[in-house]
Amino acid sequence: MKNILNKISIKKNEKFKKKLKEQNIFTDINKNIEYIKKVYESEINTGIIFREFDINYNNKLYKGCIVFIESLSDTEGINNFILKPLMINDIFIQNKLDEAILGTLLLQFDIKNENSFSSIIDKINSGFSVLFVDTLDSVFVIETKKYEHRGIESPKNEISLKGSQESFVESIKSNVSILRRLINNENLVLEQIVVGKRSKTTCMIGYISNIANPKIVNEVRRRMQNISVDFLLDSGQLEHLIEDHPFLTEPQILSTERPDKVASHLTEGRVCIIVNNTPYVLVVPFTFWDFFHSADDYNLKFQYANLLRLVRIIAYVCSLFLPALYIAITNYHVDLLPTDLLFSIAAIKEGIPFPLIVEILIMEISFELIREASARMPGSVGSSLGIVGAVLVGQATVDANLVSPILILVISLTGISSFATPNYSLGLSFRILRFAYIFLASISGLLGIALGIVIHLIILCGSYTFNIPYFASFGEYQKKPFRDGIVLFPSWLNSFRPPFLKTLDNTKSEHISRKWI
Amino acid sequence: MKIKNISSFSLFCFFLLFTLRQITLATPMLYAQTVGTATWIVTIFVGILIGIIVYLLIKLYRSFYGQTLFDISYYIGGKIFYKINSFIYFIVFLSITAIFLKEIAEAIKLLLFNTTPLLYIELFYVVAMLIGSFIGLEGIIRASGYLTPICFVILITILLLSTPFYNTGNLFPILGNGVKDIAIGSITLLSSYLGVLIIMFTIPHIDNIKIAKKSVISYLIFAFISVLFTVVALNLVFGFPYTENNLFSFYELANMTNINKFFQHSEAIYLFSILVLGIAFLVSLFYFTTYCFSSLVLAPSKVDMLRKENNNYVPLTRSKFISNVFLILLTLFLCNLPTNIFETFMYKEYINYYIVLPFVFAYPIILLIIANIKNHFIRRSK
Repeated sequence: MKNILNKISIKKNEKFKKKLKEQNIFTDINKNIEYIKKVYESEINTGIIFREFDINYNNKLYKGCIVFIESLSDTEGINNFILKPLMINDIFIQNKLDEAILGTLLLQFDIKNENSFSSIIDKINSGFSVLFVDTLDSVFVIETKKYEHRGIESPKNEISLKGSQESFVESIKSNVSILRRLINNENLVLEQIVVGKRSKTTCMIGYISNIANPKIVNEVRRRMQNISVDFLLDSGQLEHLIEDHPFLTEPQILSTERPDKVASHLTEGRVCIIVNNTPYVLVVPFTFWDFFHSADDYNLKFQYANLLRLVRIIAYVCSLFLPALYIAITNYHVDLLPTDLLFSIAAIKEGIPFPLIVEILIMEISFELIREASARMPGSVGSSLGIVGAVLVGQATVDANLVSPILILVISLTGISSFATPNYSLGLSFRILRFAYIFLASISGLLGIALGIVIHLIILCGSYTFNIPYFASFGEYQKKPFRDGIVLFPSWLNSFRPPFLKTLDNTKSEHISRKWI
Repeated sequence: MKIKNISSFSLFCFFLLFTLRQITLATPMLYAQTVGTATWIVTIFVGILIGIIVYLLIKLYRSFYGQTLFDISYYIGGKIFYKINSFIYFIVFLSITAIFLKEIAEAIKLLLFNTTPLLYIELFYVVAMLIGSFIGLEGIIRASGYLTPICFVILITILLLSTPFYNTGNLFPILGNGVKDIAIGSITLLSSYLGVLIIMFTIPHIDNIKIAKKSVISYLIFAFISVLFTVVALNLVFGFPYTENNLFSFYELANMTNINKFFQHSEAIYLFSILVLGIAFLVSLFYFTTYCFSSLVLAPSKVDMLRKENNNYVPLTRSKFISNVFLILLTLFLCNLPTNIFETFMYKEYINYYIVLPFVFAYPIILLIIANIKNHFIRRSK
């Protein structure tokens, strides 16, 4: 019975809140306060402050009330710059009361008038303070946000040797300030969009208005404005909601914690999405070959940068194909191996009871378990456990004759290669796809691998991300050469923006940028 | 809808894929069977003939750029002629796909999987064909832009590595089987440029005419160079009559080449390239089979509506799952009609003489001539 009554009262409350949100405020302050208290269930909900006071204006007392959430507001500022000016003095001003409050008494830079309960409640939830005054038909929404957040630190997951050591934080204000500092240009536009019916998460779309393709910007805006979710807590969740191909394992959107990376991509004509309360910023549109680029590429000499890119490509290929190639060659195409190598492999594999596919699956799954366990364990314990686990698993399984030593080498190389990828999401996708190639190789050797490569490539080549082909960087028709697809040219030769972005201004720098020569 | 985001390089690689696939297997043997040791002379003749045919096609097609062969047939003879041509080219693509599937599967079985059932090997190609038909032409063309250059480099590497084994004496007698065989053979060997068929079916869907022209010219040049180098290299190494009876002469050439003690078996990279080329080749052919079938079954009223909306052009549409499965089963059935590799080559010869040569090289020219004459009369009457 109690449960039923509770449910009825909750439903009644929800109906009331919904009805209230569609209403404008009353001129009677007591009614307004009563309504807001009901919405916030102030009898049981702590932290919502209702400070009532009197304003002595032209020898007449008006009741006022400031409503704010204590943990999101600057209480000192409220005391000194809102309550003090309104309460302490008798006010004799020729203007009307609301003009006097807005124009003379309150010192904050951001004050607006609102009159609908729906927007008032949203503002209170965001950390604004709302000032009700008796007899007035609008309220004052005052910017008083102040809450605890992490300071700017160095990036944890995208380490750069020579680049900037700043990373994004959870506060959207701090992130915006970092970006504006990096791109101090009046054409940097940061549009605010609220996503999430209940969470009302503040997101910002950032782009450089005289560079970015308006079609891409409009498409990003369209997708963001047409998301229907209750809560949006993370940029990762947003990524899933706006990407073109959710079933494709490869990422189509860059998620980065590095401001220098985001700034660099904005100058190329891409669009960034900053989500409040998450230190990862999304950059769109992003093609497959862009995920091979690292922040360090642009800080090192182009020769080293290209060598590192080559190493990354080899790492990607190894992480995807090495176990599959090993199965294909040792099971199906032994005649492809040189004779000496063939004999040594045959000798090593002597006495192993399992078929090769079972050996590989045992080792791959063990490696994945160790990787996950060391990621979850805290601090230094995790890394030590990881090393011990790897040594034990590797050594013990070889000594027990469960797997061959050469397979340990193959799996270790594959694992190291997967860590060499600069983008975590792409590395994850390759972890999944590796199993598919292992399966294909085990059932038909090189034919299976060739089949996998062709189908995989066709699927990727046929995919689009924000109306840009996913494999766009390489081989597209370009009048003006873009010299940062796979091979990076020196920055003084790299004068043009990516042609597939179809930016408003294609030229990054003059043909001869080093005028001092 | 036209394909907009494609480069001339990807398109050129897509066309070249067809010629590369053929020169890695049976084409050198066909050249040797037709003309003996005069393979290099007949290659030049075939190259010139293809150049003339393509030049004629481009000239005649200029007034109809953006329209497919089916649209041109609609222009000539209305809906009925549209359907007749859809049926003709459906049969052309279906028969080519089936016979090449059989040939490739037989070759892979002989080279790699001696004891595996043939159907098992065919199933791999069938899966790729089915998936590729859903992804669409743009994905296939762009993927070719990555696969073809790798395979081209592999094949050229093998040819270059075989230079120590060249014996110029194998080129004699210069005229091979005689001038008559060279003249007639140059017509029958046109089928090594199967890319011409694909050009006619791809170009109408490309938005940019400059890209299309550039890719066609590049294809002709590179295809000619590839065929010439391949047949000459094989002739120089093996000589006649060995090349006449050897289906896998390129494989044996790859087998002979090695770099030092470690890289003893460079046929591994050749095998990988023929696997990849074979899959990509069949995926492309099957895509056009489904395209022709979709045109065939498209309701006449819908044809009218699409042509009206798209300026006399019926755009590429995504084919349905059931029809693709039906076509796959039909292809599998047809490809298993020949019982062994010799029957396969026999059927291939029939298809070459009665389907490929007339309907790939002659019929489109006739169609375009009629369309141009009609166009001329209509303009005159206006």
